[in-house]
Amino acid sequence: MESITKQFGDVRVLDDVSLDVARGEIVVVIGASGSGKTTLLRCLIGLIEVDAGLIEVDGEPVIDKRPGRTGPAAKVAAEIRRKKLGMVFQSFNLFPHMTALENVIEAPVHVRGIPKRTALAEAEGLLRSVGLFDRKDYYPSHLSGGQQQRVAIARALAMKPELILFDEVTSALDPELTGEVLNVMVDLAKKGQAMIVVTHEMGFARKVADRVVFIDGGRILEQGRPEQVLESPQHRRTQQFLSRVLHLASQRGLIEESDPPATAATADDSGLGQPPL
Amino acid sequence: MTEADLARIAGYLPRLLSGVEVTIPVSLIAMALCTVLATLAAMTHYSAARPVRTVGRIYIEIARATPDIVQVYIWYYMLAEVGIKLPALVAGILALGVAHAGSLAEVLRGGIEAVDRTQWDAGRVLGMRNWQIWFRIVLPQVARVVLPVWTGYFVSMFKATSLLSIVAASELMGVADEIAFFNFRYLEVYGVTFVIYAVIGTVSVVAIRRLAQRWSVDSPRIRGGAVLEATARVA
Repeated sequence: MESITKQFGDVRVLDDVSLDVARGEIVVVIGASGSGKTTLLRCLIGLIEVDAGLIEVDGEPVIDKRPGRTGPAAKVAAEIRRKKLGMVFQSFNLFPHMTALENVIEAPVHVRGIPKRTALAEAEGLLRSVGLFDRKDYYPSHLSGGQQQRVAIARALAMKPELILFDEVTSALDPELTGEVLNVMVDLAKKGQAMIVVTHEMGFARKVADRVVFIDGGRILEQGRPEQVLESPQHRRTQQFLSRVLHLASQRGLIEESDPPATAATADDSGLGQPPL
Repeated sequence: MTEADLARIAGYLPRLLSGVEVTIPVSLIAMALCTVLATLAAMTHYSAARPVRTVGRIYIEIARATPDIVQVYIWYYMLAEVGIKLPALVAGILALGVAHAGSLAEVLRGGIEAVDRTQWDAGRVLGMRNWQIWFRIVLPQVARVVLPVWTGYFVSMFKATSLLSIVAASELMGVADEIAFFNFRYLEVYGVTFVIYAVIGTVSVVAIRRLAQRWSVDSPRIRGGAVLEATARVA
């Protein structure tokens, strides 16, 4: 993935944001609610049209709205995105009328067009890798939030994307369920799966991110190695944001330096004034 | 009721039942047509193309505003007028299917609204095309939500087939008319007909309800289950 630039129209939800993600890289995007993190992901995957800028995936443009340029046809762009990008949502968005297994094989069979038997074998493997093989025939309504989110991750993986976008995937979960989802993501990271993770889980960021990006007011204010951004932020806004997160967590007496994921989970749970979506 | 009465009823009962043999398939076919049309009409509401939305809207409003009986006459006589002579049953099926689809479309639209919009996002990021999202993701969920209401529409359709007697179709009501016309025992003939409609109508409602229950054991959680609970109560 290379050279992703984009701008957003009148209301600058994203203001001249540029972001490159290397193959296998794990980028964690942090920032306050309404800073444009989710919008960034939705633009990348094509759920929202951008107003200006260039988005390239693996060197191929999917959107080119620089002055005087015309991007590829919508079909071409959709095809590239389908092959290379995946996304997991805050609210899981599983298909409620299908079992876990059916959710996972849906797109491989009907979009990738692989034989059902192959898809089933792959899907069972994926569900096993997220620890839900024994729940494969359950409907989403019979699964916990954490389990649903793990199925959603398996569903995204079934399309074999090179880059997966995670949009606050633990924000809708109870703190005790956050860990099981984060563990799956850590496993993926270890396998070299490239991802852009929008999250408030500072512990996750510290542990697995290759790079942490801080977004504020639709702009990337700061980015760098996690220890650099999280521990010695250069920008005032970053410092404010991080101290607020840590303050909220410590206020509840839940902060433990030795156990970052739990810390982060509670920091997230404690609010930051983050409504879902 | 004397034995002679019973013997007489037994005499024409087979003819009435042959009318049933027409009424049931006509109801089923008309309802199938109605369901397909209603689904398409409901979908036009979400089209990106304005003309499509407009046509859908106009169709739904007109279909809902006109009486079934007028539609039956229109299809039968007007088409004959312009040289298209449709058999009474075919004209009737078209008329009733088209007429009832208008209001069923509105019901389906409500069902579509009840499906969380994030389902579209989920389908899109998996690379599904619009029609795939419609037919594999959205409509199957709509079906589960609207089934109880659809059952009501099916019964309306079943009853409405009696209107086809006006164009001399040999469905149950048409047959009853014929018999009563010749034996003048109106109350008796229509009484028996009443019982036949009542039995078939009730049995089919119960049967569909049973089927629906089995189908929705793992019913989808839509909008926090509120819609579903509501429909469960109706059922």
